[in-house]
Amino acid sequence: MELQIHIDPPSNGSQRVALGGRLDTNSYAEFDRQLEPLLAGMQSLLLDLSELVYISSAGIRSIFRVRKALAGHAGKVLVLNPQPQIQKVFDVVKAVPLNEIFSSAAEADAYLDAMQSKVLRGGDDDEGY
Amino acid sequence: MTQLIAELPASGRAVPWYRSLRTRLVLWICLGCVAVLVGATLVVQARSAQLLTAQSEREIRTLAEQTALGLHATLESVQVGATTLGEAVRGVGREPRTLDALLRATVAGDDDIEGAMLILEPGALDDGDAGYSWYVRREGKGFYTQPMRSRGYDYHDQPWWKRTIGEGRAWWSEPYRNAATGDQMFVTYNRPIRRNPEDLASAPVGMVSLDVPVSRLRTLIGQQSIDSPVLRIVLSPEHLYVVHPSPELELKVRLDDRARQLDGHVLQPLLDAVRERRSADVTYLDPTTHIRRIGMVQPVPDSAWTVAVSVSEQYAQEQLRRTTRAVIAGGLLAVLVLVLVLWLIARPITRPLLALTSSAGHFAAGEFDWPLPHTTRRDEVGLLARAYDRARSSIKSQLAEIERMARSRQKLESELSIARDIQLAMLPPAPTLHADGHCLQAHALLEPAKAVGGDFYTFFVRDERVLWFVIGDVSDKGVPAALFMARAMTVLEIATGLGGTPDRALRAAAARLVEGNDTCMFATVLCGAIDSGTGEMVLASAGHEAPVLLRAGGRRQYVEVPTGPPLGVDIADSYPLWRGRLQPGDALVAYTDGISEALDGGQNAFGTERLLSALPAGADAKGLCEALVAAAHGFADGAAQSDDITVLALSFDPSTGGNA
Repeated sequence: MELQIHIDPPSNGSQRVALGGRLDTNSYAEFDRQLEPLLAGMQSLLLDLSELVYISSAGIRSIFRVRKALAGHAGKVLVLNPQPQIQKVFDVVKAVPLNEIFSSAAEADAYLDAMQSKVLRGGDDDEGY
Repeated sequence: MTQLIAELPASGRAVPWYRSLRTRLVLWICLGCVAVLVGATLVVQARSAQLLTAQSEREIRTLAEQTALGLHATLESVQVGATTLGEAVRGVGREPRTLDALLRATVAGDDDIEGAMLILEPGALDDGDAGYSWYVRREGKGFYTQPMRSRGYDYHDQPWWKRTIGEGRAWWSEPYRNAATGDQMFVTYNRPIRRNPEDLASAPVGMVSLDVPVSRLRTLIGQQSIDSPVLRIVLSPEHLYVVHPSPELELKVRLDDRARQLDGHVLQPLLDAVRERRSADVTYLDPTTHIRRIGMVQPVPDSAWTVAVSVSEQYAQEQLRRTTRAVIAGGLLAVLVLVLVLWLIARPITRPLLALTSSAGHFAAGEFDWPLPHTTRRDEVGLLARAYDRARSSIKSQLAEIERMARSRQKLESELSIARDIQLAMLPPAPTLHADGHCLQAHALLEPAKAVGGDFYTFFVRDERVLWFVIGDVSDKGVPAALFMARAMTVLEIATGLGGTPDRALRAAAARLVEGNDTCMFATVLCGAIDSGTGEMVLASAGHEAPVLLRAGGRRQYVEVPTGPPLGVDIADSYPLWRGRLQPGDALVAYTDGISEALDGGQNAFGTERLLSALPAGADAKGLCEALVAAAHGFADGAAQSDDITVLALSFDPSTGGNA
């Protein structure tokens, strides 16, 4: 099963990317290649994993890289609706802090709104992980 | 493609003649010639047929006219004979002896005349004349005479007398059968005699008749059969077929009947022409012979007789057919000669191609230095030869390139093989510790999916009784993973050597591995320390799979070691420490996801359930490792190994120790 990558148009510094299929040794390079040009200046990346059925350590590494790139300018990676086996992998390797995994888009949007209003209030930058 | 190359002759073997260009060339040219020949012949034939038909019509007209003239000459001589007889009567006197002599002279004087009759009524020319009525006929060398009046027979009662006297003009009778002359058929010319020949209005006083045998007319027209291409026909004044090659028609059928019988009344124009005493022609299909014929009628002058001529169209065209056959035969012969000439001419044209093909065959067999002829020619063969030459150079340079790449690949593989040996040499031997009457036996197996992999393990012993072990799995595979693995092993070795507990070791290692890790490589690691005397153990996990604990009673369970993040990405504040204890007979098995996620042909993972049940109860560390790896291989059943496989086992047993 090939990896499917669907990139929504960016809105307000936030980018939604939906993944499907398998993110593994064979496909992570393609994921890196497509995400690379979007990373600079991106405030938050919403990764919709509802169609992703498998992720290998190579895939985890790609998500790490995106996270690291966004962390460089205080951006965040949010993961939306991972399937149970993916969730289990995340639990094991602690790839994503648990409070950044959501089971619905509404939940993620609410989190994003809260976080951005906090930033706008000139808030503290302790929204780290 | 392979098939075609295989067919290339390696030694100039020619293609079969039926596939040769030479054959096709000759064949198509000859087919063209034959087509032109046949087409031209057909056109010429069609045109000639028109000309021939026109000529045939002219010929048949001439023939009809000649036949009519011939018949006219005969009939006219008879008519002249009758006139002469009639007029002579006035001059020679009317003595019966004189008249007898006159009659005989008339018969003797004309071969066409078989018999003659003279009738003079009493007082016909002079008032004192006695009547005279006699008939004379040729019989052998003499004559047979017969009076026209006798007992029971009077010429006054005969229709011919009544008609001749009544109408007062000469006429030809229809053919009739004369019983007195052996049933011979005759036609008779009857001519009235007047007292004053100038006075055509006066009543006749006698008559002259001359008999002509029908056989004479037939002889005159000539012998013919119904199959003859040219038929000559004589029609009586009443349109009876007097002379006709068909016995069914001759002397039996009239043109009027025949015209009615034939389909479509095709002969009607002829009949009309005969009635109007003019010539006419018509083309019709003869129903008895099924041959198309051209028929023509021509009236005989000065008489009511008609001549008809009929020619079969086939006869008219026969000459043309013969000519056509001769032209076709000659043309085909010429084409045959052309074939031979072309065959000889085509040979030198196609021979260079054969030579090129031969060279190409040698190229296909790998002999690229085989000489290539004809490269300097200025024709298509030269073009082909130069194209071959370029292809040969290109193939040679590409072969050289392939060879170079193969060498470099071989070098790379050899280097990778050495790297693998170095990597495997980094893995330490598994120690066995004895303390306090217990034996802690360790074992580990590692099978990289590629030449070099990212899995690793290590052991070291501290204070002679504490066994430290590490099992790890680097994200990704191949050379980058192998390098990161080497770095992780070094860092972990230092970290574990610092003493303390596994959680501290992981934290220290994590701090080191994050430095400069721009590629975001990471490793999941399970690190533990076991006291070989007491079985007490502490474990810490950096995102690694949970190990399995096999109890001496056969119970087996996953050890839910709480995990921190993997090494290389984040620096965690702390890694949770798990404390437990191995009882005698227990064993601990750790592994990498090469085992738990081994895939079969249907992309199904080996999974945690199968992993548990694959571990045999009571086996030692080595046996556990081997059983688990064998189970994973058995499950994959030949499917490609997707990840490095590593198993590490520790068995704690009082009985296996050397000094237990």
